[in-house]
Amino acid sequence: MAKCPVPFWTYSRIAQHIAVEYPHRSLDFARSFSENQMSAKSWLVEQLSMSPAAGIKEKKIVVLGAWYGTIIVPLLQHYLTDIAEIKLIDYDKDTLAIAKTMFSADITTEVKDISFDVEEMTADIIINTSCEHMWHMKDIKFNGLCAFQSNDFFQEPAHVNCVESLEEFKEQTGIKTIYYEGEKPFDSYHDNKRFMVIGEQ
Amino acid sequence: MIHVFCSKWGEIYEPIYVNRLFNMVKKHLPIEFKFYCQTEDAQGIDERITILPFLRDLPESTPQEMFASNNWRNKKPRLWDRPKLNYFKPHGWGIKGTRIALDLDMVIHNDMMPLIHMFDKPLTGRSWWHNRDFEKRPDWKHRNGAHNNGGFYMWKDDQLANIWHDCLKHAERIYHIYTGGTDNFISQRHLNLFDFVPPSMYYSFNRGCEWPHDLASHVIRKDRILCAFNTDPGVATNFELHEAANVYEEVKELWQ
Repeated sequence: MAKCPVPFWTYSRIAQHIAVEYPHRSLDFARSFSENQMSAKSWLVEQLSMSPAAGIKEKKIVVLGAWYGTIIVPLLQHYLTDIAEIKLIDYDKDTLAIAKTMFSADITTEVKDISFDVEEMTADIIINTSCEHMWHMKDIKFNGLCAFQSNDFFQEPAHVNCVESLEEFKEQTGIKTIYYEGEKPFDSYHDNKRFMVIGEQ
Repeated sequence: MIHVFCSKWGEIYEPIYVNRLFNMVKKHLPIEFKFYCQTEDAQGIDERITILPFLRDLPESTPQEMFASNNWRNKKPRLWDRPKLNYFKPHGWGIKGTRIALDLDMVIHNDMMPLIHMFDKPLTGRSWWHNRDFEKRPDWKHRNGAHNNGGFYMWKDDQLANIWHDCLKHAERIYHIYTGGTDNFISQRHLNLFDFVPPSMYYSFNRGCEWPHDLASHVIRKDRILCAFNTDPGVATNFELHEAANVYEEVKELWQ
């Protein structure tokens, strides 16, 4: 069991904790492990691992709109080396409390509404896989490598800032020096796309 | 002196909505008040009602500007009822004192004095009729779901100045993110400023009164004070106020 690469027992413990302490979040938590979430996060970490920032010593990584961090945190820990800090930022304090229970000392957390409360941010790597939920990233000054995702899934009411294309997304992020850009199917069920751009403003 | 505000824009509401709201306030608010309508078209509105222009402090906030902008979602301008934000400007239009803001599609059918007596902290309506456990669900927050019903607000002077200053600083972002309307914006960013009118005074004609025991729709609850006619998009059994007045004799009698 000590050699098992996936800590199923941790997920079991957290799922039980949520069922008791946050029953209204059980569905949301289960969705955070969905196939399209896995696909999006693994795509991002795979490309990040080949980026210039991968070699930085004692990396500070910030994840904006982090949700529970369920997939992104283990992937970052597995595929990137020499990480000094992973900070999860979200406007939902309960998601961060659950993330803290799950990852304990491996992460720090901060409750902030990124659309309104962040003007500038400095880190070695800044990740945002939820740009469609918030205000344009180009209006925040990011000092560091940005790895951002969005999509054209306008049908979801919570997606207030979708984009039609990768070109529009690049403009919306303000990323000028681009190391990677691409698009993929949003999921297996819809004819929509997910976009990603990695680079610096 | 109480200052009572409403707003009329676009083609949806006829002047009769303004005049009848004034009549209901006159009937049920037995203290000195002045009634205002923020509108660009005073035609047909009772001469006892003071007409106010749309303020221009916030960008693209007049109906004309809002409809001309290209920032729409789901066939509506984002934050489609943004002219209501003007109510919150401290001493806006040079008016000081206690304010009540009412949506045009509210029916008042009892003495409003219990509302006046309970007023201390700013007051607004509450969507008592939906399952409040849903509000705890993450998707409710992600969709910027509303907790309040902005058919009724009551406050004094600069008690809601924070809302106005937030709008001045972040108007563009607020319009963009709170696509559902001002209830969603207020609910997600400023709900802590308010107390709520209790369900013993407030209900919805289309959605009922209080979850889970009193949800019958299309029922006039004679002992309440305020009835909202909020509708769900695309729900055929939801009635706008004028439609309900054509179908239900009780509504017709109250909405005069």
